Amino acid sequence: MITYGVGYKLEHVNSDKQELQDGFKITFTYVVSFDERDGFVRLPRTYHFALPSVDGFILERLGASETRGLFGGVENQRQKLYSEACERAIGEVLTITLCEILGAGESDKPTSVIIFGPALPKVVGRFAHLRPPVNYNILWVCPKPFPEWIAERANEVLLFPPYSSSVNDTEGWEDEPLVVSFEYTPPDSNTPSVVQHLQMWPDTQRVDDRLLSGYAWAEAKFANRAFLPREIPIAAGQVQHHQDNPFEGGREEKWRTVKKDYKPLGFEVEGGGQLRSGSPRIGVDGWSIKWNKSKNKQAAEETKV
Amino acid sequence: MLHTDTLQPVDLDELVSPGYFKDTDKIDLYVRRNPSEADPNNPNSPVQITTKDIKGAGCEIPLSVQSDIKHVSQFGLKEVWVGGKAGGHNRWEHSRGAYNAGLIWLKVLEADNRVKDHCMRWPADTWEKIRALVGTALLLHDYGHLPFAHLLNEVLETINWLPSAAKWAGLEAAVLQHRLVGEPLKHTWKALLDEIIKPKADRPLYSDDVCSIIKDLILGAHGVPWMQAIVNSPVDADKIDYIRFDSGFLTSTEYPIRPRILEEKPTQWLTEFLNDQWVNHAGLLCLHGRSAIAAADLWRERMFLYDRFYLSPEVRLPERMAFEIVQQFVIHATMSGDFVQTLKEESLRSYPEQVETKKGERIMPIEEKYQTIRDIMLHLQKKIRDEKREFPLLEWMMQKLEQYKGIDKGYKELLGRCFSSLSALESGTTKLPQVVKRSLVQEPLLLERSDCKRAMEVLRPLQHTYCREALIDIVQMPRVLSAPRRWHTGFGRHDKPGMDYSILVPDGPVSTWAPKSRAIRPLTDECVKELRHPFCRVTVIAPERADSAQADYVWDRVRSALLEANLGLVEGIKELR
Repeated sequence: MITYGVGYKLEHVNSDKQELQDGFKITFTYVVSFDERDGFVRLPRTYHFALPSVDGFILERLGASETRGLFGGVENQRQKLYSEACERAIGEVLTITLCEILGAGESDKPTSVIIFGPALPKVVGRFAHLRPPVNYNILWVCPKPFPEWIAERANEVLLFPPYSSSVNDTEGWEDEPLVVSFEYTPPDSNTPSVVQHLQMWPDTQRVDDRLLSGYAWAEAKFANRAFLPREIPIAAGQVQHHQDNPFEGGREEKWRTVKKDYKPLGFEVEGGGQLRSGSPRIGVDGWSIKWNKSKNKQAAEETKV
Repeated sequence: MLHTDTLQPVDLDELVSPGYFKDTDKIDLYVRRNPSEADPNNPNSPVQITTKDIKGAGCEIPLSVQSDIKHVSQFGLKEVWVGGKAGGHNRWEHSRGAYNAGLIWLKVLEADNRVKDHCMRWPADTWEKIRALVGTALLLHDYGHLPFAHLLNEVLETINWLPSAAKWAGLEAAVLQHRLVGEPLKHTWKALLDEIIKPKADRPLYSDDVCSIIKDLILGAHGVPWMQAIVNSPVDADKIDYIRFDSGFLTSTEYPIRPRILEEKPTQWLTEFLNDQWVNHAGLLCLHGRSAIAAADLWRERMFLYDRFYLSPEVRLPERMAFEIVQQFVIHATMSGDFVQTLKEESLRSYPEQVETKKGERIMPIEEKYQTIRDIMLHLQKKIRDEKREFPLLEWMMQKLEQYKGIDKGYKELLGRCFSSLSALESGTTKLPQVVKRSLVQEPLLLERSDCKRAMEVLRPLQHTYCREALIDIVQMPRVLSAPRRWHTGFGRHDKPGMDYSILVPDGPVSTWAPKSRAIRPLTDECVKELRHPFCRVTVIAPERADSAQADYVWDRVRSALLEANLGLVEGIKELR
């Protein structure tokens, strides 16, 4: 099975220059593994986004009786525009990522694309418009509580639609939801995650215990010690690494390994040598990553604080 | 770099529309003359306009611009769907038709002294300057259209990719603003300035100002109301010409409807319209008596054409099929670098590639995507070089989608069925009624016009879910008075009538306007309420499989989704407000 793990992180950027509006940036990347053989990490990218201008003034119209929104749920034009811009931007970077995955993919082989975070409607709509082939199983996995690492100040209550308590309880009648949501607790873990599955086609492979337990789940320290498919912590780790240690040398390789001594957010990957110069598995230069479940798990244990 | 030859202005003979000057070099318009201007010996003498007037308006359009306008179809391939040929009518044919109609209109106002001197404001303070500015604006009014014209606008609108510059008048406004400041037109602005406007001006003016005036006229933001009314308003020369042409075109096809303004000569309706028409002391265009009645005829005809032809379920059916192919192409060509590589067009860059070049810069995704797709379509426009207009481009897009591995096979089959239907129409081996019979599922569903946007959102997930089986089409009938910028009175969802202050019409509803009615109030939606078609239409299309159980199921699901969302279906005439 080919498994892609996609990670992204959104950060607010307050401009210290008068002439510039506040904005935000998203750093994102993905990791691909080919069964237990080899895998690649895509060089993370950071896109900077401008916020739309808020027209007019915010009025205090009902200062003596209005609901201010202690737990959110009260509409505020500025916040609405901000959320809209951020969700759209997340949609953009994930769509670009999926397009890259679809363009590089090997036809007909069962492929999972697992995205870290909730399935935002703007992302779902964009993915659906791409009409991805049926052999691509697209899932979102998001631990509960929502990991602030993805986007600080996000409102967990509003992020998920009502979902089923388990994967066995998702059969609907008549309605045909594009996304099926349910809670899943991986083996050896006590932390549940919300799994959302894009059911684009009638013959899309249904998500069941067998499929989910087939992924290599690994503990992610940065996500409240939740267990996630191993590709996700590596992708997230690369994102964090990219932000903490911006590369200042020459041109970076598009595909690369993770440093052997680097522990991405509590998860270690053993790096190997360069796979093949010029023609790696998915058409660009890269390095192999040797997956070693037991060692990874051991490393994760060691890095627990 | 453009070759110098392409910057040469078009030949003056190219400005004369055979639609207006067929086998003649002069037109006599027997309009009711201004008593102070009429020849006392012959008070009923006509206003005469010659091809010399048309050629001598001082409009210089570069050959390259003419070529760009010429290679976009006027109808977005509707001619092909109804059994005609796309080549007969392109955007240049229509632009020069609108230009001819506009100059005829100006000639009557001028010859009959219907505009007071103080209403001709600097920099358009002489008839020579007005002709040049209005004429140039009319010749360039469609320069913002990319291949597939309105269809492409619709494609971007449904995926929320229209940029902020498209707020008032859609994609064409955004592209126009980009193209007007481009290299090919620089000489046009300079020639207008140096040869027509500057010599008699007592204040400084620059080429950029001339470009701004033309842009404002085309986009409906010019400050002189009566000039604005001619270029972009509910009765502008653009509408006059396309209704003239489309009415004539329909009579040459087997399409089952016939126009109601059917003219032997294009000046028949125009003569009525130019009777009793004056510009008042404030510069507003006053449609008195017969002029107002003729305008009402035009609006009635326009609504009829939209309802029964442009947006009719029969014509929408192939349009929606072409829409699906174009939309898939646009999405993949914009978002996927790998797909762009398969196109083998070296200068094309996808959206991620564009963003990569702006390292660290803050981007607005919609603006970036619009620029990407604009540049792609401007590049692909070069592929349109023969009388088949956009059809070969559609075929090329289909081929590229078929070859791309990143799209579901089942969905590709649907696209294939769409294209084979369109191809059969194009080659003439199949007629539209046959395609309709094989692909239109049951009958269209009608909703109130104001529910259109909500219906789109409700049906969006269903369209994704059943995209292998069927296409869902949603069209909204236009307003009777279609003008880009208007003032609104009232509040709320239903009670928000628009107003066009540049035009005055008689008091009361349109059915009460009589030959002696005086134009005393601004044109509003209220005046023409009787002409409205206030609904939107939802159609389910299952290419080549309309009779299948799956198609019926999708139709049922569409109907029940609309009902569940509490959207009132208009299923009996009494329910239509």
